[in-house]
Amino acid sequence: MKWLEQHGADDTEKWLGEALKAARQRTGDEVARRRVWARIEGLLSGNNLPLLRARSLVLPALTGALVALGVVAALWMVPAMRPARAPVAAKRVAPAVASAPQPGLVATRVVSQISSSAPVRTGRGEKARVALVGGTGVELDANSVLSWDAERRPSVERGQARFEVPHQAPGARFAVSAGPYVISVVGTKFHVGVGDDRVSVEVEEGVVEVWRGARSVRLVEGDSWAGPIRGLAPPGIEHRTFLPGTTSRRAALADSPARIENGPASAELTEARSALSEGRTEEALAMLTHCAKGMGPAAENAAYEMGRVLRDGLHRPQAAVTAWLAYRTRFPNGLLRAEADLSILETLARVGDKAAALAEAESFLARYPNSERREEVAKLAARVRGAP
Amino acid sequence: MNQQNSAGSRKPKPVAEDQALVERVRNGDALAWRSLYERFSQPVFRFVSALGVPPEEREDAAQDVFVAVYRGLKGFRGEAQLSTWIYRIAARHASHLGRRRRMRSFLSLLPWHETEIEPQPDPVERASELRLLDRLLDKLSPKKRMVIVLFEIEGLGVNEIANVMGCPPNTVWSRLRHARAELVKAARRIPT
Repeated sequence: MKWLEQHGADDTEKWLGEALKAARQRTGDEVARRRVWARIEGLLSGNNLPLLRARSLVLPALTGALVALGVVAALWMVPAMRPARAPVAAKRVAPAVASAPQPGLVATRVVSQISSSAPVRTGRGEKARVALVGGTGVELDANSVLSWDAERRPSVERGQARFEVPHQAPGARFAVSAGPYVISVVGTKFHVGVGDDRVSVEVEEGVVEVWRGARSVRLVEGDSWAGPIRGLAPPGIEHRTFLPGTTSRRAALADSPARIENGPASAELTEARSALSEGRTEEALAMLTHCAKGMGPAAENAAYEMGRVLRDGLHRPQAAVTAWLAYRTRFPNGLLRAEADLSILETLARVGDKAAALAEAESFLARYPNSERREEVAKLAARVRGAP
Repeated sequence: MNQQNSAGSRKPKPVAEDQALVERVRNGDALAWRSLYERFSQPVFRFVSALGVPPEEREDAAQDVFVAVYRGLKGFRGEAQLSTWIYRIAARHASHLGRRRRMRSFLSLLPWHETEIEPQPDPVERASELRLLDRLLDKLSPKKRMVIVLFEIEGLGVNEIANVMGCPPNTVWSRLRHARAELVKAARRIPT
């Protein structure tokens, strides 16, 4: 970055130099790259039809939009024909595209979070499908309210909602608020209900964590849980490992590791990621190792990320597998468990440990029969089998 | 895609190696296709990110780039580096997405249109300096942004950039000079 270093760079120029250096080391999201590979892998064998979007629709859509724009502009320029403001204002309050109610059917609106900042409310006999930024789909039941804050974090204010969350990048979680609770997931399907005095969660697929302050409960597929909105636990049990809700797996939860939010651990994890992006790989690994010894989500993320640093940053695949196995032992139901399983499988395949990779693949397919990664794993297993 | 940091032609590329890889993919070698993807997926993701493609569109953008790469491999004659050729495809696609975003943003100015919400930062990229850099790059014109990203972030030489953008090297130098000056100027305006 000679242009920023010559003639005695000032603080701004030094900062810019550092930022451009960080941008060169931007590693991106491994899971996203893997997902794209799963979609384009079939190109070679010609079975690529599902991934190709209908490009031919783009031009007509654009042309249609421009024609519509021209018509609207013409209307706008003729004062006598200008539409009244009232309908516009009404649309701002409820920007959803409403489908025409059909006799005998429940009216379902379709709302995109990108084009709407107002809460989505459904009335009696009405449902809504909401597309959140990041790919999450929400089915909002009748008499329900879904809102989001300035950072677009959704919140179920009232009623029932079913969430379908696509798999998140490693270290990232999708969170939805429900009353005083925060429901945190990596990628799953679940229902949230908010009544006058209770919040309920039912897990259809994957793993969900429900948090309130420093306490949490972890739910897996088939679990349901409900907790009070007011009058939580009495003082003195602030560090209990589960919320005073009801769940069918309370005994098992009591045995799980304490999950207490750990501020310093989160800061250390952030620091480790910064070190990684700056190329200080060994330092990042040391920080992650330290962080992984702690408690809470930061420790879990660090335990998983150690494997990625060992494999991708330090090119030590065997050590990476050991790290992910350690993650698996410590967090058998962890939010990143599937990711760790897949990383182990892929790394074993990469180093040519055919038998172990196939065993992992079989175990993955048996453990996650409905996983969105199933096809990817099956292809990987087929490739390993076919390898000399 | 390289990381060297001198101007001109920054890092000589093994053209023959590229050509052999392309040939293997053309012949249906699955491992070669995988190897091509592994070699270029990270730069493609990084490149489209630096050109302002928002996180929620990056996967689709990368997918489209590789589909175009695959379809174009038959016509790849090896006259340019494989990396240059892939950058050209990615640049074209990112520009197309940029135009679409600008159209959306223009439409959002219309009185009856809902205000568009700022794209969410990539949860994986928490470093604030990268977010700030992206905001500074947003202030550059698309052509200047492309030049500075290819030169400063992707490490391409001026001749390669000229090849990617289809313009003379002198134009690249000129855009680079202006882009650098504008970037520093924009960075100085950030309140400390």
